[in-house]
Amino acid sequence: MKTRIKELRAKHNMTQEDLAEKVGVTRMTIGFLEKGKYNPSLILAYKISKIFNLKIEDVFVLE
Amino acid sequence: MVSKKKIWWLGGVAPKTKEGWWYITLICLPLIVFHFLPFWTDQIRMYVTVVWLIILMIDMIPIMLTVKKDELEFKIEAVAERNSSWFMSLVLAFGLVYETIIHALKGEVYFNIIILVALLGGALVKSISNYILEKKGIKD
Repeated sequence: MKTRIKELRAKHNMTQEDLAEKVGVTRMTIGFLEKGKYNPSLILAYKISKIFNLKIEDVFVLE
Repeated sequence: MVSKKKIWWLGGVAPKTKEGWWYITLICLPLIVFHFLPFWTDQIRMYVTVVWLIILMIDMIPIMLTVKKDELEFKIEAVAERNSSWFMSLVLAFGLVYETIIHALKGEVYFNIIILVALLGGALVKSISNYILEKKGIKD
């Protein structure tokens, strides 16, 4: 699964740590998500999308 | 408990609060001081260190049980524990077969009850866990 998290973080001037804290996960999890090494749960995907005011499919792209 | 700041010498793991540093200091300092004092024999040093480790482990259990993990950490832990339990099961099974064969060669019938109970108990716990989890599902 591809994500636009890194791009969106940069756009919102947010660090991995900031995003991790907002959605209640560790920085490692955000790093794994950005690298496409981890597929998030629906709840986490929803939380992340909500932070950027986007729909899940606008943040996560199934390849 | 875990610091946000990456500290290279601990791989990012360090106490987050003043209390955390106090805990480490208070639990480690007596043992360090004890080992520096010249009055004890090696045997006493070993016994005290073992008791210290047991106390530390007992104290760690609630921390390990209550520490919050996110979903990735939870999965990593689950896979690591599965691998660890497979390894332990294989070693225990090997030990059981080895002991049984050694005794059989002497014409004795022998099963190591503790190993047997550990293996059967493990299988039982796995079956019960599977049954409950398949019924209840996993929310987090």
